[in-house]
Amino acid sequence: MKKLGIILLLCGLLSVSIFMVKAESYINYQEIIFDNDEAFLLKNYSDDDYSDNYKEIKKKKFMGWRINVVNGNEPVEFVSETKLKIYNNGFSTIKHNINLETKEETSYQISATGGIKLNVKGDVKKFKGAVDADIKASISYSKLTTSKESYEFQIIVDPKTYVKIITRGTGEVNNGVGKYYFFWINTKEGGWETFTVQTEYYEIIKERIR
Amino acid sequence: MKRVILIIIGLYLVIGTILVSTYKENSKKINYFTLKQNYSRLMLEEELLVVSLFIDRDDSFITEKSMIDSALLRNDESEIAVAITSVKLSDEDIQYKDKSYYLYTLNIDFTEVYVTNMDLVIEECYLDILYNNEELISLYIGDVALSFRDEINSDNLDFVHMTGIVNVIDGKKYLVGICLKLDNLTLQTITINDIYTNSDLLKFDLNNSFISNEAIVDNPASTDLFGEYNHLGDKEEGVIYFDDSYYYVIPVVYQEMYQKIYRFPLTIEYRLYNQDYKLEIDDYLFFDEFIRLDDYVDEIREYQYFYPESN
Repeated sequence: MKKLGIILLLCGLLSVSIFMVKAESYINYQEIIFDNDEAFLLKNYSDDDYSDNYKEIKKKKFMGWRINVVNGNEPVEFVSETKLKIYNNGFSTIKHNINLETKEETSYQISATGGIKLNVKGDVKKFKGAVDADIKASISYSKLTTSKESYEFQIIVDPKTYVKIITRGTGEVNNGVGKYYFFWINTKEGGWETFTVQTEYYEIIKERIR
Repeated sequence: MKRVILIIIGLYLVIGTILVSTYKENSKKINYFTLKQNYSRLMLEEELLVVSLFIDRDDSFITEKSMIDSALLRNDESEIAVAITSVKLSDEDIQYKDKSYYLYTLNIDFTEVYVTNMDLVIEECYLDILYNNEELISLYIGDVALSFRDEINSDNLDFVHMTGIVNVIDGKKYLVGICLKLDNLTLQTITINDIYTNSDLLKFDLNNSFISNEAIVDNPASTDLFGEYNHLGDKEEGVIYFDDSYYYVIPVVYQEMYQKIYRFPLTIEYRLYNQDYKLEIDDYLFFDEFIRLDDYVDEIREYQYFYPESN
């Protein structure tokens, strides 16, 4: 009888599959739409865009970075990744406590190309070296905050159904290029981008498994 | 030359004295503040309430868990003893009025006074914390509405889609509607008699629902859904003879003024076989915002603690 109980319990556990997606880079979001039709992401820069925007940096420097902001404080709307999926393939109802948290690494994200590199320490991402401060100064960066509350939600998942939570939101994109000078000689150059989430909307959906 | 050196030394001494005295002054004082929140929660299975505290030091007794003797939530009319189970540093370098603050989260536990099916509403609530050094701090945290439940069930009715509709009103974002799709788990007709949450700050107006074939997820303007609708005031009683193939967008009505409320539970009262039932939905985060604290000065309560002068 005890054995049967254990087998049934195991079967029950196996019939529930939870698919949790880790915080994903904004680059892989399902959709990012700019309010301004002429604005675009760094990943969509063509070779001509790079070359034209490097040319915009006319003033040289003894030592350090010169930054050109191409798209500044551009509002965007996005659909991010599926935050969570729970499948109940079993024959009985299950209860789940879902725990989600909007983390710092989601609210402020960055990317870079060419000679501009990223420095990742734990959850904190920065542009490597002095260019981080130069970029933040050129886009008037100021850190945003939220209540930092983790979000626990109990949900009932009926047999042969799945639950998923997706987030949509609004944010701001800044991107551009930079050139590094050493004794007034341009020694490296690259592209940079910041993505700041301002609002997140949660959508929860339960559907039958087909 | 001798005079120049003497002037430089003199300047050093004056600047040094100013710096030392300023540092001493700062080390005697702690600046901290709270941001008003509307806490509306369904408390299940030893769930915690999380309160945020912004403070300009990370080495004070205020955020030292081992220094906490006791705590309570209170207003002028009621109070409840709570336990602070942890104090966590959640973020740092948060700017407010040109100063840098740490963000700590205080996890509040209710297990000592847990009562099943208790609804606790403490408007204009303070969190009082008594420390081992006999210091007491009172933090204004906002309105608290907690519903303690053992479990939630969905025997006859369940939701299959839920999201919020958010509009910008006077430059700030507020929830103006909720989009729900419900699933009738019976073969009988179910009538929705009421939808409400445990906070008195907002109500749901069933009479003026917008019905759609598709989920409404892109935050349309309230006027596109409800026409010239006033989201402030009282709501009238109403029913929805619902069809579970449609999405219902129900307008939110605020009692006195627009309120920032991101997360709350829902109770759906419905009628089946001439009997009344309830579907309770755990507190759901309809939306979340990342804000500049300087834009929310009116919602912030600032405090200062001065260390006693040593003899």
